[in-house]
Amino acid sequence: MKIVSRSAAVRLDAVTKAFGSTVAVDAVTLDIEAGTLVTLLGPSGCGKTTTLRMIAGLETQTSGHVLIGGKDVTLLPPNERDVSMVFQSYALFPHMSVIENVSYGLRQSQLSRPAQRDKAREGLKMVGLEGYDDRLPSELSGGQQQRVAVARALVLEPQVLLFDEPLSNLDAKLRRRMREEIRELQQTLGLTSVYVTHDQEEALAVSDKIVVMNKGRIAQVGTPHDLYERPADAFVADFIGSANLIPGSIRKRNEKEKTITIDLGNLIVDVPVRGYEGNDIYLVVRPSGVSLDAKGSKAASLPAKVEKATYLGSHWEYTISTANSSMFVVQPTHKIFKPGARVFATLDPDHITVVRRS
Amino acid sequence: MPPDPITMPELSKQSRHILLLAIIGLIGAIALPWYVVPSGFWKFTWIGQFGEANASSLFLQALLHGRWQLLLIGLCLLIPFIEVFRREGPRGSVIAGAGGVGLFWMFAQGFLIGLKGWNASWLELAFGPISAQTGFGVGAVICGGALLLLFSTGLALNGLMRGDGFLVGSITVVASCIALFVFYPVFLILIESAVTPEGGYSVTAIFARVFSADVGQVTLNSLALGVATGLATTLLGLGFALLHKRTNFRAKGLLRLLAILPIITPPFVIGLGIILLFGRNGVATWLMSELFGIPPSRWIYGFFGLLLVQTLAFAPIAYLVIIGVVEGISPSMEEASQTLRANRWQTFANVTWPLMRPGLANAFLIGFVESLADFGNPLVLGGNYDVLSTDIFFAIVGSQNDPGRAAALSIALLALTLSAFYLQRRWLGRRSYTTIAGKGDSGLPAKLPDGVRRLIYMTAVPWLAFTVLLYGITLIGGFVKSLGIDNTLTFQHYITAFGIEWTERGLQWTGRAWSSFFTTIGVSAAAAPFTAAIGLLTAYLLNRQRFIGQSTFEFITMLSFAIPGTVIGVSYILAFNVPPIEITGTGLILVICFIFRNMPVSIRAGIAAMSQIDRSLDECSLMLRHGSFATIRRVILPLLRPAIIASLVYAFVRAITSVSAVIFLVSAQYNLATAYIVGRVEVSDFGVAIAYSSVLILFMLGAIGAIQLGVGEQRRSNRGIQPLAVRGGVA
Repeated sequence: MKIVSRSAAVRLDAVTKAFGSTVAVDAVTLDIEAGTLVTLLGPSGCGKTTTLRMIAGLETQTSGHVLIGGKDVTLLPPNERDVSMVFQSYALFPHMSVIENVSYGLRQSQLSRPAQRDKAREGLKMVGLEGYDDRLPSELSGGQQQRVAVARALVLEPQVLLFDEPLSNLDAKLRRRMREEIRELQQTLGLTSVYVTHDQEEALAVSDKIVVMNKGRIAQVGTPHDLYERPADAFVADFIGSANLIPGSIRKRNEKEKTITIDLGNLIVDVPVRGYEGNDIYLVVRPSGVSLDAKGSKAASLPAKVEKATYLGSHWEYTISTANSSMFVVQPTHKIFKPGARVFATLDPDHITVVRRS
Repeated sequence: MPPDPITMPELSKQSRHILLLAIIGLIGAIALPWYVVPSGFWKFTWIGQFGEANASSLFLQALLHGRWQLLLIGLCLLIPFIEVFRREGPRGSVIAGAGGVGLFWMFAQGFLIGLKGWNASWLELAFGPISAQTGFGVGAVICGGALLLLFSTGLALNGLMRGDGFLVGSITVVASCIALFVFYPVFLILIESAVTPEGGYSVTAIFARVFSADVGQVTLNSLALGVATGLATTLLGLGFALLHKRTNFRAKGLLRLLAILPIITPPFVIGLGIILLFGRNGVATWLMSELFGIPPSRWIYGFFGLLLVQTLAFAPIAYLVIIGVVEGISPSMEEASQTLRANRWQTFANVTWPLMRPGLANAFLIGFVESLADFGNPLVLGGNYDVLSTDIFFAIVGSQNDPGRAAALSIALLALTLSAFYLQRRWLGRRSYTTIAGKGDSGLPAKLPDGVRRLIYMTAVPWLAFTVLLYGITLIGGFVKSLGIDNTLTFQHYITAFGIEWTERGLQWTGRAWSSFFTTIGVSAAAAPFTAAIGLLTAYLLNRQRFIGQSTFEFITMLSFAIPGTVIGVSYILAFNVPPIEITGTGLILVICFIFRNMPVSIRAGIAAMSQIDRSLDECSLMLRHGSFATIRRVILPLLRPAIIASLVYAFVRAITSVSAVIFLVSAQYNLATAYIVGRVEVSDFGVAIAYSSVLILFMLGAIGAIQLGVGEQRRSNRGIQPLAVRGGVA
């Protein structure tokens, strides 16, 4: 009994959810291609879980439409939409054994009892839990419970598989392993998946596309690479991979060399052009895009003072203050500075981008 | 393509459901007697007389016996039957409309046309005379049920609750039941108190009755007793709770037994015990007159006797309420206080005590309401101190036979309990005193200040001893001829009540109590599963679903808590003595009364238990292709098993011990144990009363013990199932 995929595309059409007067999700329109993993990423309260629950049918939208595989499912209850979901709490039924949990969804299908068992076993095999049939959920470790939850969702061969912060109850090491396994399963089976997380590293690691949400709206949609390299605004820049936002203004646009010259007050830098209107911008400086030296070697370096120094084994983290801003900087282990030391910060133009300042 | 005229359209799941309902309704309308069969439905003598005036189905009544008004109901059942086969599928509004109109008309004609034809003279003038009709019978009940469910299915078809027919059906059924069996009867009390001496109705009559000097005096009496009892029970309950949780008191098992006792003790037993001790021929009275020369008197009959008895009876309830509050105080609060340089007394006064205050208010209000609703003890011990609950009884069954006065007294009683209920919700709703947040924390609760501890030992322990003595003397009372007068040992009372003889005709239940004993057990056992089912279903709707009008729904279900049993009893007589619903004098009215009396507790138990089950389990089951009904069956019910058993036990036990409501509803054929005992007490036949009460208490102890043993076994074999829900926050 093979588990196959019947992936379908998902389309959200101006979907809105209001709880009383607060709008949790505000006219979100989104296309999710079949067979891809799309992550909804954002801080808590941004509406990402509500959006996911509306795809699941657990939440009724105030307005808008949800389409799965081209079919309008807006008015269908969850049990009649062809989707399954892995819950944050796993939601394993504590009174059922592992095999009963996994075959639970199949009980409403046309399959015979033995066929249900076979399929459930196949699902357990896929997540590496063969031979755990008769255990109770309370007798499993957190990671194993997580696998059962995934197997339970997989065996239904849903058109869309939803993940609601599936790894947030695991410790850091297990989280890394589970996210790789989930990604591998998703790619092998070619599943359409929607994945909710607030952890940007997790999102970068598993996604084909990331949807960054803020205050109920979509801030930006793109591949992990797009979002990191070309954030649409200060919020995305800061949320993905943390950034130092330094206010500045564009002094000159050099059309021929495709760069713009930016005035930071006490420093002028040239960065590749991104075609911004207006002159007020933030310079987005990644913590790894700065190098600190005891002496100012190049012209494009800022004098700064080390405020805090934290040793993390693989690298140093420094907080430095310049004349009009403070920056968070990551340096290799051989660059050692004491708090209070005078340093020069050199910005690497290739790791710098610019977003609008409004 | 031209439509094929022979093939029927394939029916969807919902259409099949509608078809089934319509067929059931039509069977009820065609083949079952519409009106009550005088000789009883289950004797099936009506089959032989089928077609005659009192044993005809709806259609026969309409066609043969001139009851044309019934045809509309039949039509409303036929419409869905036809609508189902519509090519585009049935329309929700048509189904709901047919169900709604049919049901409305069924009740409207039932209320308009009674035992003597038209119930109002202007209708007779307008339409001419009409055949009289009696109460609804089995056929009518089935048609009514089918119409109600057709109505809700139609609404679901129109997209209400996302088209979940089960949920819409549950809500309508529960709401209709509460409306019919709680609010309609209570509403009739208002009507009854508005009857003027001339036979008309007026609002001023209500005020004249309720604010009469006589009703006012009785209300004041009840209020004074309620407040005093509320205070006394709260203080004692607090003492017990602190004794249990914050001292090294040894006999904690005794405290737990004390907490179960009031649930399984028929309410007047403590009153009986007090009479045996302090009555004119009581043991204590005799001792006092022998030792100190105090002449025997009737001082125990009246306010102080009632206060004593009610405090004894209800302090354990306060103890149960307060112990929950004491447990809810996080020890880390007290530890924090101590690390901030507070001594034991300051910690108690500034941290522990304020945190307990809402629990104490709650306990006080419960004691107050229990005292007002108490019927058995005032009946036994009231003397000349009239209280509302017993006065209502005497207004109905006594020589007065004044339903208007009973209604006015009921309104006064209802006003008091509803105010208490309102205050409780207001006060507890406003602030949160829950101190345990998120993770369970450990730590040691602070020791009580020495003064407080000594005070508790000095009051609670003697009180405990007194309770034990009381139950002891009551038990002994059943084995002596007449305690205090003739103390010879005898089994006569038990033989009178529970004698069995073996004759040539087989086993003979010669004891006089057997009949009421068997009725009690039968009726209670019949009511318990329905009580638990409706209660838990309501709890599910309140706890797990969101729907329009939910807060109103919640409010009215919780309001039924506040309606005292005596009021329910009176209202049932008013409501169900005449057509269309004519069930007084049957066992059915007792079962229905028990169901709706005890349902609120079942709701609370259900809500408490369901709050422990993570909501994501339901959602997960929904995602795994199960509808709400399958989810309840496969996920919620298995996890709720302890709550279900507790509800069943409670409903059963409460039904056995209840007096106030059913004393109005018992009949010669369906007498209940408590009513029988009250009858014995009224003629001062204490011996038999005590013997019977003891048997009841032992029977219930045995039943509870057996069930707990059974549940315990089950728990062990289940390898420690606990919900392992890691509560996830919603981003």
